Amino acid sequence: MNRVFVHGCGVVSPAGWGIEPFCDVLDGIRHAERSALTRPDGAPLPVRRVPALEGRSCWMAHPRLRRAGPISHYAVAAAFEALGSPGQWVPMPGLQVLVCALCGGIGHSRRFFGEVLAAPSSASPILFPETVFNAPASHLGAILSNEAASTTYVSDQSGFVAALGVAADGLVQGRADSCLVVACEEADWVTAAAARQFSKGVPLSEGAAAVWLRRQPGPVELTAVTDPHPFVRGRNPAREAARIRKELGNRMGSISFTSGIPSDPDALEPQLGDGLAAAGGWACVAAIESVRRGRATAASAIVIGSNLQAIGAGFARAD
Amino acid sequence: MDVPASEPPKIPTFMRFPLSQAPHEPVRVVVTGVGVVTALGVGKPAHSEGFRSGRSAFRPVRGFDVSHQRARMAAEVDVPDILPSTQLGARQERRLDRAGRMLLIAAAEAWSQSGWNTGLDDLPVVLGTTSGGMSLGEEFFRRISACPSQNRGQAVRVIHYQPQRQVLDLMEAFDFSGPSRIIANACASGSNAIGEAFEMIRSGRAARVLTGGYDAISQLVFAGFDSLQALSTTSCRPFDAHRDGLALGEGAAVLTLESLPAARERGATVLAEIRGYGAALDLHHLTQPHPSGVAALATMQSACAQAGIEPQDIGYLNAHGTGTPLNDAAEALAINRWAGPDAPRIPVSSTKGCIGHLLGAAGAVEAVACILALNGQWLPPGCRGVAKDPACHFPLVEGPTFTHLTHVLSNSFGFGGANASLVISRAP
Repeated sequence: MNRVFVHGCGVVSPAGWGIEPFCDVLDGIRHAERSALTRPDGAPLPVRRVPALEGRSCWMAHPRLRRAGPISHYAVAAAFEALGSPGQWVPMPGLQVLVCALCGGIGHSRRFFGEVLAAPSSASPILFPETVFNAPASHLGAILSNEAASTTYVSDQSGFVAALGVAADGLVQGRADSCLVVACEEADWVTAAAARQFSKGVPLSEGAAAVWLRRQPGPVELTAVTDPHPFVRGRNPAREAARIRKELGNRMGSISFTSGIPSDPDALEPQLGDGLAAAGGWACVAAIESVRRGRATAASAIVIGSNLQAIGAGFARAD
Repeated sequence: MDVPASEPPKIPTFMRFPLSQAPHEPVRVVVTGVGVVTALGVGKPAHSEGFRSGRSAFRPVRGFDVSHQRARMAAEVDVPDILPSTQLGARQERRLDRAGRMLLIAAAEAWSQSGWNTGLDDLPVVLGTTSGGMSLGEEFFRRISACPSQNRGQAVRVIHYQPQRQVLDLMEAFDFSGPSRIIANACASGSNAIGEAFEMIRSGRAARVLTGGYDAISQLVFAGFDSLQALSTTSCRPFDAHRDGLALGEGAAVLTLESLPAARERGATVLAEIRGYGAALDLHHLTQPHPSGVAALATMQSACAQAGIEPQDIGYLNAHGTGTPLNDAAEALAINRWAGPDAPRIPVSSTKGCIGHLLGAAGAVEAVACILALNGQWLPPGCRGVAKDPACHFPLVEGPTFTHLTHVLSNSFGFGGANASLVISRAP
């Protein structure tokens, strides 16, 4: 009752759609392509984008996705992979869905506001609803036919790990039977331009990550979610990362993945870019997969957010 | 108010699984401080008077040009130039946008009333918002579109546009640290925030939580609702048979929640008790409720079930009541079904008829309206002179009314199908 297990993961990343290409990139077998978005004056903004999906999954035909932006497609694809479903979903009572985003549906927001500035009276009513942060969660709930409340959290890269803690607590307390945690982002020139203000040489990227947690035993166990370390009182991100490593402890055979410290040898940014909220999810999925594939008996994800907090999670092979 | 400085025991937030602690018996959750800013004014006295009398706070929009929009009115706040004294420096205060300023003012009022000390290390904060510092995001976009290579001030706009910055501003203003959650469930965000804060204390995961919601009117959001033809071009009249849309408002409300034992131990004044929280997802459409209000019904039922009360116990229902034809019709059906034969005895109103729809702040501000009503034993009217929609089997509160209130129910429903209800009761 008081243990929490990982039953599935899903990823959409600049490496491609699914966990396999994601792990291939982490293993150096393939590389995520760099590309560029263009600012209105023609200046290129480096990004790593999700490649086009080859083929067509069942879920893509759902009417809810007809007008939805890429962020919702990424969220749904990662969710279905985590749930182990190719797209034919049997509703599961008691499934809680938590979705994290930093920028949300920025493509629709940018287009809509551009129309407002150009001609307010003719701005498209089709675009505006997709600008709300919880649009991906709403679409996901509709596609999963899941009437249980879903919550969308706005956060930085740390949001996914914090949401894992909320989910695990809900499972242990019996408020949900299983919980799907999703983080998703889409790239747009306006976010690439904003990110460039703080660039550490890491291009913006996009995609999603999903982890499905249950109380029933599974191959990988969530072992810890640390206290969040908000960036107040002069706290330094690098120092907080060190504290989190210490809090999580050094298990034998443990490896770690980090997000938010590009110079760290365990950082995912050099391969995948900064996926904002999705980046925290990628670090968790990398840790989970390293355990599931037998490369380590335990692994941790240490996420240093860009502007809120640092936090970490630990995973281990379930005995 | 002189409140002893004793602190509740620190509850570790670090979770190492398997958790060694058994799930707690539910803890009673009370409100010990509230702060509120809307177009009615700043603070509780202005809102007690405004909500009790049903004062309308709409005026022509001044914040941006609406000359090309269908609708021209909103309930804008005259945000004070001088902020309450906190630990924020002058430079930090200058960087606050309109939404951040309203949030800080509401938080300062709630914090002061609660008697909480500063310097807390483990105080969770749970806030609801739909757009954070959107006006700064808009300005970033305007500037980068017009002069892409000019960066002056742009980094600050990016930072302060994000709700994370507003959370950190609160932590710095009142010198506390702890876990944070920013909920963006559209117009249910404020109620969801209070609901999640309530669950954190009820389950023993926290002894106290700072919670609430905030949103400022922005050009993007105003134009968005206008593009959907959801804004009234006459006046916002929730549950009127001839209603033609909502009106936007802005503001913030902050509540200090804590466990009843912790509040009693330090001798704090208890304003109200949060008794129940229900949430559900309406799968019907991204912007339209299911016509029969199934999710709304589910949230009201689950909030009352958690509170252990029946519809007949509810003395007042603060409806979501946006004034749009679709919302009010679905909500009326849901209330009728939820209340059944008790519907004719439950007074209902929507304070959005006075202060507009505050989006991410709506649920929190309306919770404060309910607490003020419980404390003053009156009912907040909606707008006056309403030709009641015959779909409503319940009475609408149309004028100042004093009554006996023990339990109230507050509904919040949002885009994306986010639905939430709270049961709030008189102080134990």
